[in-house]
Amino acid sequence: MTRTSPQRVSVSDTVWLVRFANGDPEAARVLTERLAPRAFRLSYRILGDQAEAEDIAQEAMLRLWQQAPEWRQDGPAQPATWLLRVARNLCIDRLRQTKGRKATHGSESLDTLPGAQPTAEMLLTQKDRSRVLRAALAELPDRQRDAIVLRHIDECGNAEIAGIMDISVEAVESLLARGKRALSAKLAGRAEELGFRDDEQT
Amino acid sequence: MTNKPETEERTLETFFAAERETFLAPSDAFLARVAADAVKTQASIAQQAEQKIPRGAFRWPNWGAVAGLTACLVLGVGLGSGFSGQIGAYGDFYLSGGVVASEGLFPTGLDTFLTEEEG
Repeated sequence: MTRTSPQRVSVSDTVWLVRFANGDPEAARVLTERLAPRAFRLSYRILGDQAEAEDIAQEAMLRLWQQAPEWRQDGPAQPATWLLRVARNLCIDRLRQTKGRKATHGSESLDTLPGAQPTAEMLLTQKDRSRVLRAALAELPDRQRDAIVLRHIDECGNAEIAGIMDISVEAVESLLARGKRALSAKLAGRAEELGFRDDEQT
Repeated sequence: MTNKPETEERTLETFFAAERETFLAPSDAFLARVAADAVKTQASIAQQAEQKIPRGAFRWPNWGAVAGLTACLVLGVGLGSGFSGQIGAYGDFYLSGGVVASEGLFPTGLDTFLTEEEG
């Protein structure tokens, strides 16, 4: 079976996790490929540090492996939701330990990022735009930031976000609405400066 | 002309799209560590499963208990049925009704009692 076989893609994470518990080495590979990068990306967007994000994601994955023998194939929990919740909680703990250090990516802040003094030569790359967004996200309250990252960047559904954040769907919707308003305010006036024009957006 | 909320929404979406398309990849070393954890955990799970004795599995008996029970059974049958014999020069003995005695082996009184009982 190749890594891209349709049979493998169609098998759910839950089934793979049960297979993992039964000693299937293929299950370990599949779940690592599918889930570890997601745990890493969420951790990175919360912590803003590659090494720390990898530590957190590794710990979350280890807990998933250890949980495998107890996993019920017919249970309601999804491995991805469970994993991202664990990763997020570990990130929150890490942030508390480091006294609220946020994902500012070093000493960067929204004002010091490219775009503050735009020139023709300084047309922003996609990477620059991402950095501006991350800096703005880092200034949001934690729960608003996490909800927005999960919804608009990781493209999770509201119900899945509710499971990850352990809150109601209504609370997710509220966090998203408030977070987007706050984010718009932070980015107000920056869009044109950052190389976005109205005709690009249509 | 678009209204302000729509413009803001589109602007935000453009930022989100840029971030989504920015490929955040974990290092190979990270993936290797996760894979190594998986292998270790699988081995540990398998070991724990082997150590658990499934229900209904065969267990070897406690041989001391078996020997003790066998001895009791033989003695009980013997006592119940009664048997007699001779121990070398010490004279006759017999077992009956739970009483062990011997003629010439015990003091005179008991011999007499046994003889009278027997008689």
